[in-house]
Amino acid sequence: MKFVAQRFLFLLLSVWAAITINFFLPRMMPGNPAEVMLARYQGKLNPQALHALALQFGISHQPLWVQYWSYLISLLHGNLGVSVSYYPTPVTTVIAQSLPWTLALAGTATVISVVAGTWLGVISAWHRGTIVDDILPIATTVSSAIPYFWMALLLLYLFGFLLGWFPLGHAYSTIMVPSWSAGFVGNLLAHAILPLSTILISSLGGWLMSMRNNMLHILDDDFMTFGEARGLSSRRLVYIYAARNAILPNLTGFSMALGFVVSGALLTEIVFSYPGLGYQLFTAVENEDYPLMQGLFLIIALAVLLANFITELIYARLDPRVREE
Amino acid sequence: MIRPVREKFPLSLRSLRKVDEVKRPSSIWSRMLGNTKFRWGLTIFMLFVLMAILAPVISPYSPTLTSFTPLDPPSLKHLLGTTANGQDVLSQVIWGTRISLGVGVGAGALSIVISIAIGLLAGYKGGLADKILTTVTNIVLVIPGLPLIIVVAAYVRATGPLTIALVIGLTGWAWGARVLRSQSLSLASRDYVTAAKLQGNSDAYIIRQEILPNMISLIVANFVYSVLSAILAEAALEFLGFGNVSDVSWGTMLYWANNGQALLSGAWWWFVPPGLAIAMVGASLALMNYGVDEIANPKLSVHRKRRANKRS
Amino acid sequence: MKGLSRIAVAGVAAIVGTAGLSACGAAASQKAAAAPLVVLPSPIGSYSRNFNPFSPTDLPGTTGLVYQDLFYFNPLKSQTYPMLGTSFAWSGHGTVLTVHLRKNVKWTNGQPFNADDVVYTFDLLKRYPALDTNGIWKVLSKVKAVNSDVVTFIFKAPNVPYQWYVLGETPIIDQALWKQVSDPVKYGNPNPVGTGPYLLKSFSPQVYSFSANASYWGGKPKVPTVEYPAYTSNSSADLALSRGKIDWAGLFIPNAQKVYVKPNPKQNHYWFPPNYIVILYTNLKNPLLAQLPVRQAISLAINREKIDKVGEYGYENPSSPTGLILPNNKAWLNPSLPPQDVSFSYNPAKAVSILKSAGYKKNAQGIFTSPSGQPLSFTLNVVSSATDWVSDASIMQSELHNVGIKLTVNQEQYGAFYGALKSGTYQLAIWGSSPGPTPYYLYNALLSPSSIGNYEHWNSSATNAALAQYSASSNLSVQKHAMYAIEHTMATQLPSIPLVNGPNWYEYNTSQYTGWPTPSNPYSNVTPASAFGTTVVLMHLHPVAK
Repeated sequence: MKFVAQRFLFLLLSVWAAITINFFLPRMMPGNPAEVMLARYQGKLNPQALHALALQFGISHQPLWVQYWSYLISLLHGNLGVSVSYYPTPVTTVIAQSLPWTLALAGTATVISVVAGTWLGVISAWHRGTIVDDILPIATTVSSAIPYFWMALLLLYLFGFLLGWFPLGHAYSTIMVPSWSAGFVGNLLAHAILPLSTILISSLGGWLMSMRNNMLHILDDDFMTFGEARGLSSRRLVYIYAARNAILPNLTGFSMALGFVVSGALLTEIVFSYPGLGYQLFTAVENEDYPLMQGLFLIIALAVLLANFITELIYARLDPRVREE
Repeated sequence: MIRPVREKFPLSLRSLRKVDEVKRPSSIWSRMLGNTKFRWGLTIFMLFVLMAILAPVISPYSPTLTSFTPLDPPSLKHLLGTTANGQDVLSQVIWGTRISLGVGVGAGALSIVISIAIGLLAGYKGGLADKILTTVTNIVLVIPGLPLIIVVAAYVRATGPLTIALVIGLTGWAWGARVLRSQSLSLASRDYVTAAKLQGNSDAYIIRQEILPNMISLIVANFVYSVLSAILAEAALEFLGFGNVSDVSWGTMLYWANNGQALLSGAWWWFVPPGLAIAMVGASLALMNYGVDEIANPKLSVHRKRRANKRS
Repeated sequence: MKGLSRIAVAGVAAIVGTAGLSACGAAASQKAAAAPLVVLPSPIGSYSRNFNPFSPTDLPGTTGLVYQDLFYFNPLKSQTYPMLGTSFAWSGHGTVLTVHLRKNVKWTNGQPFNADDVVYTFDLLKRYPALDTNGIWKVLSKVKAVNSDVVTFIFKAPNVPYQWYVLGETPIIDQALWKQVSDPVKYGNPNPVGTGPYLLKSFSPQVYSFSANASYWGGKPKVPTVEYPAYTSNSSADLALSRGKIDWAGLFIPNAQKVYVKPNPKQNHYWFPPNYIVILYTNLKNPLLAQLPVRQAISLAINREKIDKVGEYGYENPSSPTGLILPNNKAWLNPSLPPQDVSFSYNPAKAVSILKSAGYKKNAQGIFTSPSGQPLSFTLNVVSSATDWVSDASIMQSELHNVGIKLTVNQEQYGAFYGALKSGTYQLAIWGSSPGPTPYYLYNALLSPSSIGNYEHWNSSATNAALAQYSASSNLSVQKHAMYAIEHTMATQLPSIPLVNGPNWYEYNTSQYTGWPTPSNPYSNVTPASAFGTTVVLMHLHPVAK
């Protein structure tokens, strides 16, 4: 119980740190939303508008600590403020619109990546010393060193632009009406394949390597030799005993990765015009839309922190040694 | 840095296990060079370093010269074609090596230095210092990397490679610090360290003579990994336009290619080479990391012979 | 939108149990009957339901398609269309504007439109200064309905130019409906009711559409449906455009001829008419830039043709030294101006000789220094995300270096850039100018000491007098003479240095509809981003006979 309390305290501390960074960073940026809004017209808008815009956005001239305090209070009420670039839409609405897309895209990609990567890791470890184990880890290691937005561009160019097999972006065709029809779901999938592949190719290697290395350690452990001596089949040994033990770090890694899903597909979303959180964060930064930027960053950080918290609890349950550290 | 999934599981994670290195650093270096993967990685990487150094000699034109026919496909005059602004792509790739590698290595070095300082201090000193530093490390670790960098880069107004390197370096040290802390924690309790303490040696001496030499492969692995992350993060930031877009680097080349609709114009020669260059440097670093990992954890490098024995 | 979030939830049901957070009400429902006109003014990643015509972030189509102004002033030539007004006249020495309103106009909910709606609209701007983006109530003193078809605007002082803001830039809203709105500043106006040719048909964050208003006072439009899809980036939008998925766009597209026209030369067309001028602002508070020879030398050393060709894909022709947007403003150009005042020449040798004869000498680094010993070394601010201007800046950097003037290019984010521009803590900056239907608006914003847009801090009694002269008279020849004086000042005194003409982006596809504005028939502003102009274009379009 002491361990749980300790971890919870850490959770609170890091949430507070995230909120504080989140509050102060954007505020140190020069300019205010009204000026930025006017400036984005690059001088073509009547500069008279500045006064009205400042009134609209309610530019605050209160001291920073007063703003910080009222920020904390409104956070407790679940109020993330009003977006400047989507004015007067509340930040929560903007996030709610984009979150499902990111969860669906990056979530699916992460699940597939973990399952496939882990499985390939087992294969690789099982076939250690053969050509499979020579090629597989190196190939995925190299593929995960490729800048994934560039891979996204490449896939888009080859399969979208030149060959025309897949759509050029978006979550679904704009002429379609979201529904449960086979046509629409198929349309969604067709749009998701390229971005999904991009994330997969670049993240597979990490899971593979980690599983392979765990496996190699365990395969060398005494109980494996013991099992072998007892005449258990190698296949059974690998899949039932070794893989089961080796998967533990990958499992906790998986729950961590789910936390990162929220921010994970940022560049992919931008390249494929996928309307998720990553894209929103990018435009919020571009528009210097503090409230939206803060809201998104907070959601991302919370997801990671919570996932981390849960991971630690699970891990501590599965591996008692952790609690003593 | 870019890939949160891997951020948690860098290839060097396994190095956390039992590492009982010999105390002579020289043998570690020679073992590294003896590793095929490491050697290959290093060779490719050094080729790029050479390209950066020799840029003024081997580059056919100035990278900023805009006087050529725009969007010319590759030809003998322009081996990699030209950009929409009439610049020579090959010259840009060659010159771009300088900033791309410079920022990557600089940021990687910065973060490894911070990692070592914090990791060693926390692991060796223990106690309250350890508690505080570990908490700080954990907080930095779980705060999502790329979004933070983007927000920070926007704040510092991205005036050039130095700022980019600083931003990446200052946000990317946490994982290394965590790994190095665990290692120094374990080393600090070794008999020979205790012995050295009993002999009345100073902390600085013990760290220099007993702890650091035993962490070299771990430090190298983390450094290589940091450089890899930094190069990818740099490319991502510049691609998004958070760098100085007038600088010539691989990331800004991709930014201009994307902005100049290279895809739409069918100008593959504009966006393929810089990405390929990043991928090759990335691959070379990944190979080195892989190699160091195998040396630090001999179990990972499986010999064919042994395997053959097992099967029979 | 409901279906949409459900799908997303299903995809990740195993991960997160409660993703049903979608906040959008109306579903994008029935499918369009005839071919919709697909419009893309500029890439917006996802839409928020905001049809408040006073909001700076209202969705394209809100003003123009749904809400209308009293008159439409075509910036491409001197031409005025009666919209909700039928005629207007000035009296009281430029202080009283009387407007006759169109009869038998109905709001789309069937209620009649009358003078009270107009008065209510302007009173709303008075009560909520946050909505008054043109600062109308700084100069207006009273608006009253003479009868149900006539409204008079009484100004505090003669201010003829404000007719554009009052008549052409203020959307008229329905009094009965808006009276019920508690906070019009934060009101999203989800179901807009206007007088325009279109009604909101469907909305989702990915696409929204309008359908033709059968009882529109100008007759039912021939385009039955207008659709606005969301595109996150310029790249993805350009891609869709080149694939013929968009009928009317206002997008920057590099190499338009090759990328857009060539694949389908019969149906894909573009025209990028000038819309504003890109100016090299020279901060006159800087003692060196305050010297005319320095500004002249800078201007002469800039190769505007090269900026156009290399930095701007040949889309932005060199400006006129007069600061007029040509050919749009050609009716206002003083016919007796000498040629060198009408178009710029590139003459680095002359730049050097002007500096030399003004007593400037080159130092060891080859940079000119003033007679008092200060080197001509300046920082040039430019917004980093305006990539074309970044290219222009580096071209100017090398051009100016050739004549012995040093530039350091300083790229900034919007906030920082504008902060420096507004507070006058910059030296040189590349920025646009705010245009209007006549040259007055650009001149006033740029040169009037009371204008925020006078970033260079120009203050000349002759210019002020000319601006006041225009402002007080509705007589065209008086106005023209006032403008002639400023044209001369611009060309000879260089308060700031015009560079190139900034274009309006305009691409159109003639496979479904024709009747588009063209260079030979510029009947309206061309970009779908031009709020009120879009109605005029839509009313001119008709389906292609097949």
